Amino acid sequence: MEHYLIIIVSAAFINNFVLSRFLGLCPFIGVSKRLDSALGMGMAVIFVLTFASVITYMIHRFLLLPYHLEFLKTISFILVIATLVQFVEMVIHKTAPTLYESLGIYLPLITTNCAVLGAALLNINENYNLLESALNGFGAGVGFTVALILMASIREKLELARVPRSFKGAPITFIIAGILSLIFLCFKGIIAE
Amino acid sequence: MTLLIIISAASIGGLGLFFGIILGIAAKFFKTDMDSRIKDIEEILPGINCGACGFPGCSGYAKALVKQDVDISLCIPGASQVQARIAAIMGKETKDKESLIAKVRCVGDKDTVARTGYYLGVKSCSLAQITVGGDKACAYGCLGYGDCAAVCPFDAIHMGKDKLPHVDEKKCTGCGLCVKACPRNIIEMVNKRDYFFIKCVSKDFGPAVSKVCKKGCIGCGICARVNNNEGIRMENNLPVVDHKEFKGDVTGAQKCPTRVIEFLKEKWEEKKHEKD
Repeated sequence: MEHYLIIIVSAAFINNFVLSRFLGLCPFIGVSKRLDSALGMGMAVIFVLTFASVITYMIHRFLLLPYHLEFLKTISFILVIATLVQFVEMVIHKTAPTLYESLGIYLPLITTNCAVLGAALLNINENYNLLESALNGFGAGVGFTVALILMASIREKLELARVPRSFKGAPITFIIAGILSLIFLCFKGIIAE
Repeated sequence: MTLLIIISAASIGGLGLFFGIILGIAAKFFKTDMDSRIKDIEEILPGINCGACGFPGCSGYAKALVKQDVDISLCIPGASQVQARIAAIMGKETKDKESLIAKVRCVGDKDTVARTGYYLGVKSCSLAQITVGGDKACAYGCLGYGDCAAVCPFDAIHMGKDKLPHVDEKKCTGCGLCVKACPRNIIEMVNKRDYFFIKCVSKDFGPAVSKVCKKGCIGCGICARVNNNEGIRMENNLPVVDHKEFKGDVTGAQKCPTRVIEFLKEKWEEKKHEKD
């Protein structure tokens, strides 16, 4: 039990995909303007990451390994992720049109989000089993959402703050991303690896 | 080796097929009913995404038309035909809108305007403007690097041999992209039926103009004086023509010493006929 908890916490905080591994930075900057759309994006990523981890594990375990096709893992994983993203897009379009509008271009961009592919490939590298893979994917998604929500809440406050003119917009966002990343370094060493 | 190739192709192909089928089923299941009018309007709109309507592209305008009930006359390139067809779909009435065309308010070609040096930088008006201001002595006139011609989606502006932009009035739709592209605000959108046109934007007076440009408006004001300020008046050393107030005395404009006022006789007579 403890082992599984460690996997989740490790993926979510210690090796936070955005702030420690620097994966998936595009939506991290792009969708962190409003808190509600950040939350929606986070949920979509959690869903995609968890299911992608499960399905990629199964494809790797039952298709690629038996036929010695490990070299195909990147392309087949991308296929899985693209399909899942399409699926999530349809579901969100049907169930929450406003969320769909506010996510805009970033939802299809999960397809090329390296956090998703990164989680899938890391699962293979770490030799996780099915449950561990799912938890790792879920943890990575939670970590992504946490980073996105932190960033969005700061940026919402930032709209009202008096930022020097030359730092307005993207520069201050990148500086804050850097500071957040520094803060997340503090989690390193909590768990002996 | 061949077996491996076949197996890899088959497994990726199989995966693709499997996912494709799943997505196909999902697409049926999660089908969203989009307002068919959005698509119809999108097809009517010119599709050049010029942004003159103020919405992000033609599809943005189509969406806003159906969902937010915005004005149907905002598509400038589409003009009245598009407006009429949108009106038919949306069940609204068309409004008469004066059609505009772009006019270039500068005649300073290389023989007319003095040079200050040679600009060898990037051939772009906006860059020339923010760096050294080009190589022409006139601080108001055309820089001549063709930002307006480059931005025109209708191929309606061309840079002539005189290094000045020329508007093809038949092709110009009045979208106003060139107006935004010009860093010196030389291009103006004018009513298609206007018959007077001031071909200069220099706010300087007298010798300050004639020293740098042979054809520029020197701000003498004779056009306004002859007409007793009816229809033509002076503002910042430039004549301003009010086509609504204009009474019909064209002699003032013809007395212009630098011939900077363009008088389009055909359009004037056309208008006169209408009044009679």
